[in-house]
Amino acid sequence: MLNRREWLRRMSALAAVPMLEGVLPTDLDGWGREVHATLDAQGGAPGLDDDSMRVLSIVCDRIIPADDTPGAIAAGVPRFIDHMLTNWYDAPERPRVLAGLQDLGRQARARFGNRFTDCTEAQQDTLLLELDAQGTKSWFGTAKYLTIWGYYTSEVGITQELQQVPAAGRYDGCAPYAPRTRAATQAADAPAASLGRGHAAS
Amino acid sequence: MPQADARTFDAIVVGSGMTGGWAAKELTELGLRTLVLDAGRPLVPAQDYSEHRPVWDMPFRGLGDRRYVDRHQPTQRKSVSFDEWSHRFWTDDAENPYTTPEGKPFDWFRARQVGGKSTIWGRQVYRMSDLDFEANAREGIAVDWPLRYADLAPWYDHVEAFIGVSGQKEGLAHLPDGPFLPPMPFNCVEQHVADRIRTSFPGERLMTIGRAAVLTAPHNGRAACHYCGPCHRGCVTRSYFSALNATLPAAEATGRMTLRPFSVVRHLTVDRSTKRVTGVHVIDARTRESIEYRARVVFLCASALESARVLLNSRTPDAPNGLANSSDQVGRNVMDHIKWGGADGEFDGWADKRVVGARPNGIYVPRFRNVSARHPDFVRGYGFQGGASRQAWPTRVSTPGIGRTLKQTLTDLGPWVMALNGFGEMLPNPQNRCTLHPTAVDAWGVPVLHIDCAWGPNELAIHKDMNVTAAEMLERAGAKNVRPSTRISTPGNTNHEMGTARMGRDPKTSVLNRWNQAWDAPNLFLTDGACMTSSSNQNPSLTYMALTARACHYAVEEMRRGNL
Repeated sequence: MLNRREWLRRMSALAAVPMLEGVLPTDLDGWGREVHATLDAQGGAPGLDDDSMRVLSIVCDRIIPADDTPGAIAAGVPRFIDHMLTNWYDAPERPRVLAGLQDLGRQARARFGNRFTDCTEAQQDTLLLELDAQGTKSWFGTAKYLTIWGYYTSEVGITQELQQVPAAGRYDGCAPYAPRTRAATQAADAPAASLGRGHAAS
Repeated sequence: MPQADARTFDAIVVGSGMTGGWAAKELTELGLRTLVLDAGRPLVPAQDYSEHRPVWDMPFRGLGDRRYVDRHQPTQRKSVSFDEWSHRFWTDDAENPYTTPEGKPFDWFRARQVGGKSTIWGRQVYRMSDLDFEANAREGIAVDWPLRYADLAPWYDHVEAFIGVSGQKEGLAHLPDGPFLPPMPFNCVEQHVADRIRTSFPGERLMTIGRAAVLTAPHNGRAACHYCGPCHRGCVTRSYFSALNATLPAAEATGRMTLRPFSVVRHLTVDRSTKRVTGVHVIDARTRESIEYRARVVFLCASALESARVLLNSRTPDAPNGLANSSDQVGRNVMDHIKWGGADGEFDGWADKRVVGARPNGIYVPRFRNVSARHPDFVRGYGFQGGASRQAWPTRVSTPGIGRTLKQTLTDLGPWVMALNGFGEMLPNPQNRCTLHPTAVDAWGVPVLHIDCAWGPNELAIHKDMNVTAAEMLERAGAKNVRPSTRISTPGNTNHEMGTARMGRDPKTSVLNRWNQAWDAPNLFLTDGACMTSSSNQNPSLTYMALTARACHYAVEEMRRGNL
């Protein structure tokens, strides 16, 4: 695993090679300290209550589970979603998602006679896939989007799942690529749909 | 030259960005004690640059602090270079308002800080040619440029030798080559498309690698690019050109530069008997104190619209419609480049290839319309920028499903997509103009601009043609699912605003002479985008810089001859 200290060390080593003037590796480490100070300062923001966080964590985990690589929980996604609902979205979105998490609990009791957190994974997936079929009309659309965004922008997501080196130090426009191989997927998983498309730009 | 007091200099440069940095460097190197003013704060690279901060360390993971941005930067956020890291390099819209007519938006991107917009620019540099400099005269549009390529060529050389430009020589008369550093490479799909364009449109169209002010080899004490990607967040290795990375340090090294940040220029001061500019009236951005500085020569390099604003705000009883404005051309002929025309398409193949490293540069298709054959629907032309990349997870966040299969789908790279994005010339039109708002002022009490600007029929015809030719090239290259653009950019959004104090041959119809010198005030020079007589379709910063260096040398010669 390429941790942040290692990444900074690599960046420092890289930057020091070609006659770098005026910048020392300590500057890079200094930025790191500043970054941590910023994150620590956010620790005091009011968050979701414990019950909601437990349900949210399971939801995130079922969307991006751990397999050969860590999943959404190890990547800190529930905390990121809490932060976004509190500090980024406007007022209607946070209560909508909170109400959705509570409704998930009611659905679990009504259909499976259990708390959502105590349902089997198959039962949890059944409920979540029904919500997923509603697309952005459901609160689940927001939770899923934030789970994906939070996971693939996390250190775990970038360095372990995507195996990207943040600053390669070189450009190769025709480097070899093979899709990641991992243990066979479970039959209960929903099939992924065809790929979307985006607009590349320089 | 003796210095009378701490507020008197040989020269004052208003603005410290793309052109102000060049004026600072040239004037100080030529021996002038120079005061450089910037309205904003100083930047300290070691503290303010953030290009190596990984996204997982950002509080909003790259999505930005939406609540703050909604309140303070609703216009600035529209720039392609605005993001959670770089947003501090743009102004606060609430402190710096401007107005537009109902239904005629204009995006005005502003960077009040030492280094100006050169910290966040796109770094694409292309020379203009006589196809551009002769166009107005040939077509009877606006006024003729008072210079030709031969006048500017040595100054393009001078600027490129200092800033460092990577690129490929192509031998095109209408896109002259320079002393390039090694070109950045194409990726595999770009190489394929380039080959197909050459064989499909021989002698007419070609695709080359972008000419970028990003170093591919060590140059003038600056390091080669290490391909981390986001130049607009700063660059601690100073591998891309900016005022902060190159010209201001050079000026500082002379010992003759006094750099004063937090200096909002309210207006220029004028001697009523001699008509000469005597100096500048500054409001200290932090203390609100008014201060006057004096100099023998003033270079206005505040960006096209800000410089026009300063002239309009420098009105006097003798010049009620603004300084240097006897022609009534100050503020008129606002131009930008029209963009978002073009197309993209997918390529089968190269599934076992990917890109490693983030190349801060794309491809370039030089202008091919109205170069030899005359197009029936429009004059002038456009070029394409863009590139090829493999689709990645952000394009697929709405994939149905959950679990391991979703995770695998998101992680896998998708097909290669190649995009061609047009940048089209805008004709000068005196009705596209900025004026002083009758009542509104900014946070420092300075009257603000009202900007009234819209695309004309020629720009819209150019935009339409971009969609056709981009799709045509992609299809000839074998792309599938080719999608022409459906969007037209808002004027100003290309961040190439220019033309508001044009150069010309006649003081009755232009603001500046062939040396960027104000007809009405001989010791006043404007060398930013304001001076542009036409826009060409090339990215303009290189031309601004070359004109600035040329004007500085002229001004110093004139001072030595006793004419200034």
